[in-house]
Amino acid sequence: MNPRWYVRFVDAAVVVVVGVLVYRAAVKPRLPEPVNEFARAVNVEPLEGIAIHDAGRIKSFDSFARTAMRHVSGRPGLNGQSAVFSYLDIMLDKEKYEAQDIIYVKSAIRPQLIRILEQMKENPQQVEAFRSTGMISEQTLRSPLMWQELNRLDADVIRTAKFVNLISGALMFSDPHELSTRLRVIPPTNDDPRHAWYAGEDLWGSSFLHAGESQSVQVTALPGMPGELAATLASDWSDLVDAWRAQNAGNANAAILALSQNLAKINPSLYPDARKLNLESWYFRMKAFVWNWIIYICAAVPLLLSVIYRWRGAYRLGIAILVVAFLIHTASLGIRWYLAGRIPNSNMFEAILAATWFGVLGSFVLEAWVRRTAMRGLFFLGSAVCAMVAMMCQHFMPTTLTSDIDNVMPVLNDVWLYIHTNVIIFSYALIGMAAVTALLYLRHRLGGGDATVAKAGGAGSLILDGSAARAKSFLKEESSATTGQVLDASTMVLLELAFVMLWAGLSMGAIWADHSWGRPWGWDPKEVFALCTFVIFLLLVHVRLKVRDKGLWTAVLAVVGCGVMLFNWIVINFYISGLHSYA
Amino acid sequence: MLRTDGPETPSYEMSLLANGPSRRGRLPEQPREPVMTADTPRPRLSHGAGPVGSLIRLFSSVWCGIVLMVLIFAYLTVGSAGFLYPTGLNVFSRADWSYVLPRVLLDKTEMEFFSWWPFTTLIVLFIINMVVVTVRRIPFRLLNLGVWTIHTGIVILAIGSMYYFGTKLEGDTPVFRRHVAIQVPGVDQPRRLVAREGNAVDIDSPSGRYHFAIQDVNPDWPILTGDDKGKRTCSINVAVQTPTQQFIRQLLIGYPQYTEDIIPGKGRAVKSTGQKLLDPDIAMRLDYEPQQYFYLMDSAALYVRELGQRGWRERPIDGLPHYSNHIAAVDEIWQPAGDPIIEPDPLDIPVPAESANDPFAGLDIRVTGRLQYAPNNEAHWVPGGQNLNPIVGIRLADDSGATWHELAAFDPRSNHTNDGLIRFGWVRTQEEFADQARQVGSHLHVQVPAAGAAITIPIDRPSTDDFQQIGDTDWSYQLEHVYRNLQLPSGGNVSVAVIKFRGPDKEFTRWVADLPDHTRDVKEGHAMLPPDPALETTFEVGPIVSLIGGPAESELHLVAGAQQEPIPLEIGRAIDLGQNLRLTPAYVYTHARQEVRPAVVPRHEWRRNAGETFSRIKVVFRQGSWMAVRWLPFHRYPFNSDQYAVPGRFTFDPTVVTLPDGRKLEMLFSRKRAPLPAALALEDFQLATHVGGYTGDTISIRDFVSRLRVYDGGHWSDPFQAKLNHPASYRGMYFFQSEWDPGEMSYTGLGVGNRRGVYVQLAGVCISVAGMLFAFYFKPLIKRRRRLSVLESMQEHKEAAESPEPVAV
Repeated sequence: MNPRWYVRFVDAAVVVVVGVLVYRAAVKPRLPEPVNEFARAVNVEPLEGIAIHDAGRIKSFDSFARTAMRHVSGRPGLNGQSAVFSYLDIMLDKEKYEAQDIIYVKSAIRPQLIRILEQMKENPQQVEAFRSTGMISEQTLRSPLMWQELNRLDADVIRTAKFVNLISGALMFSDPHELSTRLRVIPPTNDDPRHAWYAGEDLWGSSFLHAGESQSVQVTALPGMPGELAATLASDWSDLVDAWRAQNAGNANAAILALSQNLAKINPSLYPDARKLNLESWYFRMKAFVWNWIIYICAAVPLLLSVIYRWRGAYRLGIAILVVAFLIHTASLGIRWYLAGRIPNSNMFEAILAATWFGVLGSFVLEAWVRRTAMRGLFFLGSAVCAMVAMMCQHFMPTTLTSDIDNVMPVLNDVWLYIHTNVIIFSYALIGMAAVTALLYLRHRLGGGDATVAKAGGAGSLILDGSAARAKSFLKEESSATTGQVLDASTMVLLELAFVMLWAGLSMGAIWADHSWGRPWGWDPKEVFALCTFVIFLLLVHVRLKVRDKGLWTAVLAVVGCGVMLFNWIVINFYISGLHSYA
Repeated sequence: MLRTDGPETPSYEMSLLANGPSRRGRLPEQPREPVMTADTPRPRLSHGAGPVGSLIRLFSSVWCGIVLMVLIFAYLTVGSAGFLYPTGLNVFSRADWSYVLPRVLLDKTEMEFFSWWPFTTLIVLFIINMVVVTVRRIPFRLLNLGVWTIHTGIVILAIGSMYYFGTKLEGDTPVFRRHVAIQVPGVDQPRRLVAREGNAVDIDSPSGRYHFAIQDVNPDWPILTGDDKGKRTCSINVAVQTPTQQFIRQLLIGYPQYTEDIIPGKGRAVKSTGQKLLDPDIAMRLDYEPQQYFYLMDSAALYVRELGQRGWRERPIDGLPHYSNHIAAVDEIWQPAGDPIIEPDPLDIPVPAESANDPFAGLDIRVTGRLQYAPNNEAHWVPGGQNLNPIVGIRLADDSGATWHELAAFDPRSNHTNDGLIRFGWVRTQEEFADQARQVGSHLHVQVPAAGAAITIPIDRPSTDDFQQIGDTDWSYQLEHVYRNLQLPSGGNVSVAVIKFRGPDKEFTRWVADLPDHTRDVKEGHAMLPPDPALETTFEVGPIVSLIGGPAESELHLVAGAQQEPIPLEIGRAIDLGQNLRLTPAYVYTHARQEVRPAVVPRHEWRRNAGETFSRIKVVFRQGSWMAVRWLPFHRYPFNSDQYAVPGRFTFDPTVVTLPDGRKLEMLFSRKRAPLPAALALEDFQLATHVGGYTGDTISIRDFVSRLRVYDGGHWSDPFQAKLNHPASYRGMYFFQSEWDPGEMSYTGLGVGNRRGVYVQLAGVCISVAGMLFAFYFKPLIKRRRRLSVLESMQEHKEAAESPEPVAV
């Protein structure tokens, strides 16, 4: 190899950029946590595991509160407090929060609001804090001038209304009345699964929302519920409210325990298994395992070293760590599947989680095939990098890729969700992995590496190289296979697979669309860009046939194809909405 | 897949591996057929000279295919995503990006853009190229079976798609659930009332007027008595007012035997009278509301009938644009403020009668204009009225942009700008002038109870000065801002003066509101506190500027304060109001009248995905020298009456024109219709939900189920289902569940379409997938087997050469 002088700078730049990204992502400015004495002493854990009915699901209260608080502050809790504590605290002590910066504003409309803050002569530190964190108080939002501006932004349907809607959502989810009505924790006493659960206030009334008013509990007996149990629940609730307002943690803990136990007694046949509810809480407490990217990066580094330097030790270490990461990845998908009661591949969060899971699984299969060849480790590396990037996106963009578990849109309840979607996202994962090997190839060529290619293609080279033709195995480690050939062959193995799966997946989508939307193909942007991705690979196959520098063109088009795929996933999904916009 | 051999000259073994032995066990001498590689010399393909020859040469080239693929990619990308471009300086902000879709500029829907000739041509050329290359350049051999299969599959897919899209009919239709057929004694014809809340009908009979109104529709009504107790059905309550009495009749779908009357305030009639029906002479029955037609996607048609008739006659409108605006004159519509002016670009689309029984066959109807987003007609002022009615149009500009205002002097609701800053009055005498001039300006009344002092401060604009003392007290103030007519979160408006007060021992900023409840003090940061009792403040708001017209008709003055000299104004000349605010009087109409025109909504207020919902067309009617012009709003469906209107979804707003012969032409602008293969009725509509039932979120729904019947062979068929992902089909037409009525479930929305050629498409796809699997995975396996057999035979030859004895075969 003949290293050119700039190659080292390119390498260094890549390392620095990746390092800075990882560092910046990992070391986010943390908010100060003004956790008071009461918040520390009160134990809301028993409540975290109670069941709550929301949008066609029975969730754990913790899971529900996280969603609600994320609507408010972009985080699953206010001021670093737990979700359930925040939910109860803002419901029972709204005044405390009115002047606190708890509402998250997306960066898209921050500049406009900052202009108003400046007009309002806000303290420059406040303005600066808002600029960097996006957190603002309800009081400021509701000040006449700001409200005027929000109305103006709301009128611009095309550009800004969406972001004002998010603020309206935040205001809604910090409204005690709203939080009280949504607290559907009381199962119906008849065993009709179609019957909506009752909100707590249906039983114990909503007078508790008015602090300071004499707490005369008026119990409304719900149909079929023994009056005694109703009275107990109401008194548990009123004890909790009183203790909370008095900031008496001891009494509050007692009331929480009693309430959570008594709620489960109302209709044990409808009440979900406590283990499932606790698992859901635990899943979210574990942050839906999105930190798994750290383990993937730990696997990717030794795998990269093993690919470059052919170190056996690094290879084995890489595999060991990758197996751990994959097990966690599998567990997180499995738990999600169990909790959601449906395959977890439907929203953006789940799609990238499932896609990269398929990618890693595929890499194990492919690596088993090539374990004795010089291609060894490349598929592991590709899949580890893809999984790492996907999970970093999940970890560091929690407001865009929310981990909330919800039901899918009704039209997705079909067997093709299991087939079409998985085939497509698997092909996307393969395309991502191919881009990794293609980039390695480009780096190899940048360093003046050889321009040789795998002449018979990816799978072709491997098959021709099979055990029976041992004599002429160009990919054997001990053989003279060049780095260019190895990298090119890896890219082609992945692309051939992706090519078939993408085409098959597109066709399956057409079959589904035919009986779902009434036409197999509707020129919807998401369809068109999946086709565009395929056209790129169609081009690749034919360009490879004709050009002199096959390896270079293959690698370039593999990266372009990945770019088109990502464009489809990001820009089309978030910016250009189409029929697929719920997916 | 085609062979991908490298640039090196193939070695003996390479060519051997590539082509395999011609027969098992025999050494090949030469490749049997020309092999296609990029650089190895190959025999010239035979083709004639001249243009045909070069054409064949061109289409025999893989490079031609590559270029076509690039063009197809570009067309797909541009057609689907368009171009992104920045609209602001902050390129990292999503809000500062916008995009343009060329297909919209070309006024084409996605379907049209991708069946437009440039794309069809590209696809046809690509297919021809593929076929020619395959036939001429890829030898038909086992190893090339993959390529051949893929290419064949794609050709089949293309043929299937052409057939599919060429014969595609696609549309949608609403099917309502029931109507109430009402028979009143003494009236022959039963009257129908579509079973939707709010629908009402009056029936005049010899004994007087009857009034019927659908009072309540409950789609999930539990049957309370009888054998079917506990079952659920849809209940429809009709409020009945006969000439003599008033009651409610409850009808249950599927259970006519349970029809009964309810006396308001008393409950079921059977309880007080012993009779289920109070007036058995009034017959009411629930009947199907069959649908005969479906309405085609992206189409346009005019529906006409004589006023009072029931059925519409369709007149298709061919070639109506989908997105663009077309007007004949800039001032025939109200142009949206702030948007680029819509320039005249009229249409002229004849809308001839096609149906033989079109009642207006002789009438010439043409579409001459179209607006994409103009849901309302609005009344605005134009000159040329009979009476004195002064209107001024002004432009207010500052550094951030300009706004337009139209003020009517004699209308107290519109004689001032929304923020109350500017008021327009008209005077007939000098005394009136002086009177109006005195009312200019806002005032703040401050009382210091401790000192017993009170002053009134005129506050027209923020002062840059230092603190001013309040009377003799040790308080002083400084005016920071005045905000007028701010919208309150709770509704209503408030004006606020922001004033800094400095007292003997404290300093704070007070937001003094003209609604005293909203006055707040701001201390330390931004905490809003109730006003400090040390100071009492009230804020009285008036305009800061008054435009006063009269007494002479040509006179217009600006008064900027009670003490200031009136400034004479000239049309078109800007006056500086300070703080960079410039006022320009644009026009004054002393005798204005209101004119009604379609008002185009500013672009940024358009609802996303509204499509044609808010569009309008201009229709011109001519008969001899008589002519009439109307702007007609779009209707999703041409319903027969307003009984089918669903607020926010289906409108019913027909337009009536009286012809010279006195006949009244009623018409609707909607979409083309096509007959369903048979009349379709909705037996029942059900929701399948997740746990807890439907709670308002779509994701709590699992499925929508329409149970349908068709009128086939003189009777209604057995019910069949259309639900999500499971369309129903009848005689080649498919019905897709696509819309529902969340409240009353009184109708279902079905997508309707045919799907001819879909299995040809599917076959093409399957064949191509098989080809890909062959090319990528089976071809190398075959090659490997051949290679092995070559090696074996080489081994045999070697052994045979070494062995003195002949080898037994």
